[in-house]
Amino acid sequence: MAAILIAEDDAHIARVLTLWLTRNGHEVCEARTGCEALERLRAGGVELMITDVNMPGLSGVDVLATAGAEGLLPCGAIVLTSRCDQREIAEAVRELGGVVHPKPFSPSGLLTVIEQKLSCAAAGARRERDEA
Amino acid sequence: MRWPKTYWRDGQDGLPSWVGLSLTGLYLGLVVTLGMVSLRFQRSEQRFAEEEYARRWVGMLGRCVSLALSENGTASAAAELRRAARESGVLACAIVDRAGQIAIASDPEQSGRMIPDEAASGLLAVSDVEAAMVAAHSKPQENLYAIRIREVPHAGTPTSRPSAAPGDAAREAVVPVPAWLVVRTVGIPNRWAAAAWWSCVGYVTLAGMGVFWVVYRIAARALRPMATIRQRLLSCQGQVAEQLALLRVNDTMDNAAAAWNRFVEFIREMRDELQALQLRAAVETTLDTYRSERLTAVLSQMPHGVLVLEDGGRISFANRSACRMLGVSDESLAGKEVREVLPEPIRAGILAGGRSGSRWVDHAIDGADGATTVRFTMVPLDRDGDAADGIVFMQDVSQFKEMERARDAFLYHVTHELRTPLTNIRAYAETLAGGLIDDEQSLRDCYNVISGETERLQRLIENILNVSQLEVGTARLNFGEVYVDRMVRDVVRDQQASADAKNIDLRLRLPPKLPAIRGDKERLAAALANLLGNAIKYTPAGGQVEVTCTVDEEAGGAGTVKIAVSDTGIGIDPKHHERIFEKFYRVDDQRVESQPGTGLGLAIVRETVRLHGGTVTVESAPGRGSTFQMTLPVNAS
Repeated sequence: MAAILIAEDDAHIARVLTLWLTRNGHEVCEARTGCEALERLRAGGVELMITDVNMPGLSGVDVLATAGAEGLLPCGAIVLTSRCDQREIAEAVRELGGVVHPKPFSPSGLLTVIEQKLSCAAAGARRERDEA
Repeated sequence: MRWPKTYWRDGQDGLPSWVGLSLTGLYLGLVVTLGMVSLRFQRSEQRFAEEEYARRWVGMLGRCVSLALSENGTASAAAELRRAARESGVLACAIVDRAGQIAIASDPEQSGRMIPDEAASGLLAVSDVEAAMVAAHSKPQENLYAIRIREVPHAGTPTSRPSAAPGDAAREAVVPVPAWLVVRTVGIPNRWAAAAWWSCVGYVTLAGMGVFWVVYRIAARALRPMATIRQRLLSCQGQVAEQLALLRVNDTMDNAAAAWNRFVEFIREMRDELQALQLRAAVETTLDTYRSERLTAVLSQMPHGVLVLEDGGRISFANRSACRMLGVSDESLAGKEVREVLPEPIRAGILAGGRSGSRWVDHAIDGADGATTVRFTMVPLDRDGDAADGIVFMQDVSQFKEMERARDAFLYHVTHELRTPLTNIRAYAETLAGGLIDDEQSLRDCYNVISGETERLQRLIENILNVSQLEVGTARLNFGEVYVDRMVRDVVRDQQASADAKNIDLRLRLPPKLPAIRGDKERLAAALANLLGNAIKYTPAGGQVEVTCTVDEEAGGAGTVKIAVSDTGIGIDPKHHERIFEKFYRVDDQRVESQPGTGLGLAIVRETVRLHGGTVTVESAPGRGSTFQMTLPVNAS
């Protein structure tokens, strides 16, 4: 169970992602532009972000960079992209604590990645607590 | 006279010395032998003639003396003897007795003396008829002849002696009876010696003349070619080189002539060879010049820049394209050092390619026509020469770079455009398969999404195929009557939903009557849909898009139909007006890149209108909207 933000300008993709995540018990909110996504993150309560790279205004990478710098994403982000320069995007996203998932994707596969990401984040949080 | 060469020549070059010496010796021997035989014969003949003459003369003198004695006495005889000795060339005359004592002599001093014993002993054998030689060769140069005088005609006794009157010795002489007249003549040897001397002089002269003739002939033969050469050299008048054939001497008897002819032949061959070499050199020079000029002309006309570096990096040649690319005048590069012309990074980059010339450096150069990207490649002139010497090729790769950029942009967009509908199709299909949706409306929405995305993929693929066909010229157009008003209405209706989604006011203005044109309805509709789709795509929400049709009718059914699509969108900078019709070109603007598109739409529009014999134009400015107008002929061919 996690609060997940879906930042995607394509309504169809956002809709099907919302369907799959809610059916798996996650709390989902949507944003259509980068600026809207950043506002939603700053509003708080979002643990994980699933974002597209190409969005009007701020790109998904820009949103991730800002959110990371402000500590708005405790569980990181999954960046979806259909661009051909995925290697360069993956390097940039990795430095910001996210992972890249290419389009076209399988919703169940993406769900597995989301679960792994959340598990890792939870394990990291436990370690930090134990260390504390 | 001509001698056979094989006989006359010594081996290959001339007469053997022994032949000439033998011939000369033989000639002299013949002359000497002939002289000796001739002398011997003459000697015998002369002796015989001399003796005969002496005998006859002495006999005649004896009779004269006898007569003088008988008629006039001893004095007359003595006078006769002196006259004979003086006028007849004899040495001496005398009348002697049998003992050889001289009674009367031509020389009075000799009277009373004795003649030589051998002559006196022979006196008695001498007859009174014929004179005889009583002492030949008593001295080598003298002979003694004698004749007996039997009677002394003078009156008196035989023993009486002539009275010796004072002053007259002859009359006082005693003439013995019988007496003998003894005449001493010049001997044969003496005469012969004189004759032989002159004969020898004659023969020696003859031999000398022979030798002279031989020497003269040899000298003349030796000098004749020289004279001929001299004469011909003088007659050449300074044109020796052109008249070498005239300098040949046709005298095969002379070795010098043969040597001269070989020399002339050698010179002639050398001259011919020299002329051939000069001709070849002239031809090669001409060809080199021709090739060089042609090569320079070719290099000058080459679209690629060429710099030839020699002498450690000095520019020895720069063609026109190189000067243009570097932004300098045509003649200012030659002679400069390459480091004055090309920046260090370029030189280091092209030299890093080594001998293979496999490395190149792309460098942007700002020129009058804007920035151009030039690719520098260097190929060494000589594999063993200076590494800085070589040929630098400069290729304007701006267009190539732009094509690469357009290709990358196309791949970027087409990849995105393909993956986005595929993502939806896969996600919704998996959602349906997974049974996540149970209500009817949601199911229907899923199916509609899959269907819509499939159509989107289909349009994209069709666009790519269309542009490919138009590019290679294999596009087929189905010409027929196209009712423009109907076609435009259909397209506007199809795009109405998109306009409504962005709250765009989509208007259509048609004249009351539009003629039907000849064309491919589907392709024309697709072209108009492209223009209208672009207008809606790049017009912000709340904007306005208007489709206007006008007609310019002419007599005879000719004329044009104009379909204009105007919008109040973002507009296009005029510098992009030409290029937006190129394939895969998209304006480098965030507002454009954020919109889906492949950069193929306007290229398809332009090619479609062109194939219908029409034109498409654009009027636009940033922030002031755009107007694209298709002008189509009514009767397209």
